[in-house]
Amino acid sequence: MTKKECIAMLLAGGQGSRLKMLTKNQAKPAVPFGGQYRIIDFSLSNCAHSGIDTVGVLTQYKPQTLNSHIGFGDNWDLAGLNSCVTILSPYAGEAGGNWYKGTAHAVYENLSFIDAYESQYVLIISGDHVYQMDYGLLLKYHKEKQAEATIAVVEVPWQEASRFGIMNLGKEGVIEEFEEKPAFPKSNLASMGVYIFNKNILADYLHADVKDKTSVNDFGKNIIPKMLRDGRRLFAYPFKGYWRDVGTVESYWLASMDILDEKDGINIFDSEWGVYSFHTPQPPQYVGAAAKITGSLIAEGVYINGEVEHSIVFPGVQIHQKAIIKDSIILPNVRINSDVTVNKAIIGENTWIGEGSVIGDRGASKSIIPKVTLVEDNQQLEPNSSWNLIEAAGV
Amino acid sequence: MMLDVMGIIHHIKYENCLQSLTECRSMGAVPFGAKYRLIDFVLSNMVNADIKNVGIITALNLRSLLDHLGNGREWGLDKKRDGMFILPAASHSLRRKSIVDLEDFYVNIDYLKRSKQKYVLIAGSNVIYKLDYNKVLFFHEENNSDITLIYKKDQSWNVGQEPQVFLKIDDNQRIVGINTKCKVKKTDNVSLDTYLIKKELLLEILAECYLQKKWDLVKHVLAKKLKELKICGYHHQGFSTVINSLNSYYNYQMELLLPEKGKDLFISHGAIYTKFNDSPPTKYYPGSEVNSSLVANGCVIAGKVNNSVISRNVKVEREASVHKCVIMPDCVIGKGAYLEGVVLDKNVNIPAGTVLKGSQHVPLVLGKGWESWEERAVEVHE
Repeated sequence: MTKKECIAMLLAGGQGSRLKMLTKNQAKPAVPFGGQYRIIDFSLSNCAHSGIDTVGVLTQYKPQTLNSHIGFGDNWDLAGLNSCVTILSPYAGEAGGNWYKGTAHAVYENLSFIDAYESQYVLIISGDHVYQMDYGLLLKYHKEKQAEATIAVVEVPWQEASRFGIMNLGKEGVIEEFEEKPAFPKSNLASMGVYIFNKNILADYLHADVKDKTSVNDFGKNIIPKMLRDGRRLFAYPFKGYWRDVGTVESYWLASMDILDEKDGINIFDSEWGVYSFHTPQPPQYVGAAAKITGSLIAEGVYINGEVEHSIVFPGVQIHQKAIIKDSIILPNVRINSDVTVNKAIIGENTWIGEGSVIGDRGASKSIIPKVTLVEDNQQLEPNSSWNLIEAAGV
Repeated sequence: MMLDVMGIIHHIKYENCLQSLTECRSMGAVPFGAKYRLIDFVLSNMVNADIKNVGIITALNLRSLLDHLGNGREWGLDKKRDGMFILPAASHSLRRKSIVDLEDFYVNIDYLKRSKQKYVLIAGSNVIYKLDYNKVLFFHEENNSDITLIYKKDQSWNVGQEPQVFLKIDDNQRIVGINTKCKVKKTDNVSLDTYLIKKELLLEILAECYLQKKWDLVKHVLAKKLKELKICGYHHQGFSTVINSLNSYYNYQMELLLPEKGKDLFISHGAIYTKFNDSPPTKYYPGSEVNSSLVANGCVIAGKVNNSVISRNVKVEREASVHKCVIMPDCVIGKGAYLEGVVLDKNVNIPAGTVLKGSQHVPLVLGKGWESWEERAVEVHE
C-alpha cells in the first residue's frame, strides 16, 4: 500500500432510529437528501475536495443501500491508483466476531486497515452530517498546534447548546473541558463529531478503551474525556459555516429547507465544492402545461403538471394536475395523483397517493418546531385518504 | 441474452448541415433533448439490445465527442472483452458526399475481422429513435434477408435537406428502389440510416469497393444490388428522425415537448445513457413560470420559460422570457431579455433586456460563446 499522511474513517453504521421510517430500510447515511443525494454524499464529497483520498467506511446497520450507492467510490473520485474507498463491516477473526459496540470500537476493530497505510494522522468523520468543509485546513491547524487530537467545533444558538457536546476552551483554542449535553452550557461551541488524531496516540487510547469494561466505546463519551483527564494536547478548530446533524424527522425537514433556502452558506450550486453522488440515469424533467413551480428544487426524471411551492422533489416523481404540494419533501419515485394536497410532509420512496387525498395539515401552524407528517416508503394510499400527523404511524 | 451483433456508428459526411453547431464539434456531440448528445440515442439503443462491441468512426473535431464518450463507462462499454472502440476515419475531408462511407470501414478492417460477432449493425450518430434491435434481427432472419434497412413513413416538411434516402418497398418488405434525389410524395419511406448485415457479406462488399474505388454503401452498393441481394426494409413506427438540418434539429425538439412524444423517446424501451454529470437539482425561484418544457439539472430559473428545451446549468434571470427555444448548457438569459424561436449554443450570455426572435420554422442560432456588445435588439426575418 502507498503510504498516506492522513486517511479518513467514516462512521456510517448507525441506525438513526429517531429518523423513524426513513431508516426502516437503510442506514441513516443512506437516507435520500437534498433532491438527489444521500446524506453521506456530503462527507464523501468533502473528502474528495479536501484531498483525503483514502476512506474507510464503517458500516453495520442495514448497509445494502449504502454499499451499492458507494460502489468503489469512483463517483467521488476516490477510486484510482492511489485512492480508494473501502467498506469496513464487522468481521470474524480466529476468536470469533464482534459487532461494533460503539464508534471507538468500530475504529479499533479496523486498526490494521489504518496501519496498512502507515498514516500519521487519522480523520474521524460521520456519514450523517450536512456540511461543506475543507478537512485540509483542519489537518493544517492540527499540525500547526502540534496537537495530539483536534476537534472541529461550530457555534450553535445558545438556546440549543444543551443538545450538543459543548467544548469549553482556554487560550489559543486549547480544550479545557468537554460537557456532553450540559443543562447550563458555558459556551456555545459544539463538537461536530469531526476529529483528527495522531495515529499512535489514537491506537493507544483505543486499546485501553476496549479493556475498560465500563466504557461504551464512544469517541465523544469515552475517548475525548479520557484524553482530557490525561492532560493530552487537545485543540478545537473553529469551523465557520453551515453544519447540521440530521438526527430527527424535524431536523431532517429543517436541514432540507435550509438547502432550499441556501441558509448560512450551504450551497449545492457551488462549482468548486459541489456535492458528488451516484444517480441512475434519468430523462430531463418535464414541466407540463398546467404546472406551477415556485421556490423549489426539482430533480431529473420528474413529471410535474401540478402546483409545487417551496418543496424538494426527488427523481422519478410524478405530480399530476391540480395536486398542490407545499413545504414538503417528495422522495424518489412517488406518484401523486390529481387533486392531492400535501402540506409540510415527507413522502417516502415509491409511495402512491390516490387522487383527492390530503396529506399533512391543511392550515399550516406557524409554530417554531415544525410538525412534519411522514408517510412511509412503498405505501398505496387509497383515493381521498386523509393522512396527518396524528394518524401517521409511530409519531 | 448476448446478441451476436456488433455495432458501428459511422461518420456523418454532411456534418456542416448544422452550420455553427458543428463548427466546434462533430455531429454525434451536438447537444439534444436537454441533457443528451446526438450519439447517445443510437449508442443507448445498441447497449439496450445487449450489443457489447461498438466501433465509433470519428474524424476531425474530436475533442467534445471524446470527452463525452470517455472510456464508455456510462454505456457499460468499459470492458476487458469487447467494449467501445474509437476508429479513425479514412480521411478528414467532408467533401465526399457519401451517405455511409465504406472506406472508413476499410481502413479499420482489422477491427472488423477480429470481432467475433456474426452481424454488424451500422448506424449514423444523428439518428434519433428508440428501437429494439432484437426485433430487427428477428425480422432479418425471418425474412432471410441479406441486408435490412430501417425506415419510417414520413411526410417530411424538411424536403430538400440532404441527404434523404427514399425507399420503394414491395408487399414482402423487400426494397425495390432506392432514391436519393426524388421529390418527396406526401408520405414516403424515409431511411433511418440504420443497416443490419452479416459481417462476412460486409467484408465481401468492402473487397469489391476497394477494387472499384467506389465507397458509398447506399449509392454504390445497395442501390446497385437490389436484385442480386435480398435487401429488406424494417418499418419503425415510434418517434424517429435523422438530424440533417437546423430545421430538423429544432423542430424535432419542439415536437418532443408533447408529453407522449417525449415519453416515447425518453422512457419507453430502456433508458438513454449519457455522460454522468454532478449538477444539482434545478432550482425554481419564487415567481418563476415554467410550462410545457423539458428541463435538465443544475438550472436556476427565476423568469418565464415555455415550450422550450433547457439544458444543464442554464440561468434564466428575473423577468426574462424564453419561448420556443432550445438552450444549450451554461447559458445565461439576462434580466428582462426576450427570446423566441432561438437556439443558443453552449456558454452564450444574453445581456439584460436583449430581444431575439427567430421565425417559426427557421430558428435564430447563436454560436458557442456568442457575445453581443452593442446590438441590443436583433430581429431576424424569414
